[in-house]
Amino acid sequence: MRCCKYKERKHVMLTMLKSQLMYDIRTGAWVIGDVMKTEDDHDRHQVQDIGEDNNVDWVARQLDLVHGLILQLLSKYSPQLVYSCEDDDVIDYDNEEYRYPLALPIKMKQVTVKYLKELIHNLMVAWVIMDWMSITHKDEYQTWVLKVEDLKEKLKDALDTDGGITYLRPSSF
Amino acid sequence: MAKKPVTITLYLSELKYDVHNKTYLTGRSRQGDDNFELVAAMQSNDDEEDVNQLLRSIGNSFNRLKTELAEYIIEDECQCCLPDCSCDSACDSECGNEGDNIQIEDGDDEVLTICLKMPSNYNTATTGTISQECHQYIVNMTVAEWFNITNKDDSKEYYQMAAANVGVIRKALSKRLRPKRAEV
Repeated sequence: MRCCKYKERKHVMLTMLKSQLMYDIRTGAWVIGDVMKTEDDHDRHQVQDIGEDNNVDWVARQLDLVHGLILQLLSKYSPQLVYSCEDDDVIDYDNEEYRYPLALPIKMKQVTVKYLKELIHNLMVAWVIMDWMSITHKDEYQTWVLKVEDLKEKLKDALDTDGGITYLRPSSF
Repeated sequence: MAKKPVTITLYLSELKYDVHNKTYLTGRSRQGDDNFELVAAMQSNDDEEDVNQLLRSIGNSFNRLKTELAEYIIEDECQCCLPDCSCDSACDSECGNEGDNIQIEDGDDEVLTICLKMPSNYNTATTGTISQECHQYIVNMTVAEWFNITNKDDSKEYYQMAAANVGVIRKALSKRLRPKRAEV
């Protein structure tokens, strides 16, 4: 039987910088475009132009979406209760960072926090590339769907392995 | 990301010289004992009727070229890199708000300018290729139209060469640089 009544929690803030995310997103798209089998360089540059004007607005929207998705995945460790009763779909396209406030079990190890950080970064990158492939290069789309699913699983596993420390209630049976 | 402005300037004198030279050389190589008049007709020169036909073709080809490059031409944001253009109402026709069928003006100092707004990751190493191929496209189209009147046997090849020029231009426009890591 699991018990989740932690007496204490460690507050951690994971911050993903957009500049770091964009570098990996643009590099990923560049390499995919470079190796894609096509005679038409126009198709190739459409894949590679993910970080260009207007396209970056699409990317910003997707980063916002995956930010929300990951917060939801981590909601068990979110310190925030509902504090606002209204919201809209306006996003800050110039947002320079994505923050993940977490209230982690006090016994969670630092290595897990580092792993979480890497997983979140990679999941955000993979999500955006997956979405971009669905538009510009469908042959690659499924590959990135699998990557996203894999990273989501790893994120859940990481939390369950270390964060979800299991305390067994003494029982005579 | 900031766009990379690329300006392609084509000198009318260079275009006309190339057209004259190609038609002259073609005529010379086709010359036989019984086709003097035909050869003379296929060799373009600066006589008014010849020049008018060539200028019309050059103007048409230039506008077709701009259509091919339209993805990268943002004329309603024209900061005008066109000479003496301040982008007020006086230059509406240059900025795409107006059009007409007036033949382009002749003159040694006349230039045809294309202002491209390329993405920030565009590889500028291909700019020379683009300008040369633009020149060649206009020359090939003009010679093709000229031979369409004076020497139909050779016309088709010049249309094909012009189509090939467009392919090279599109390829050059599509070359992209690897991303660079931003400093944190």
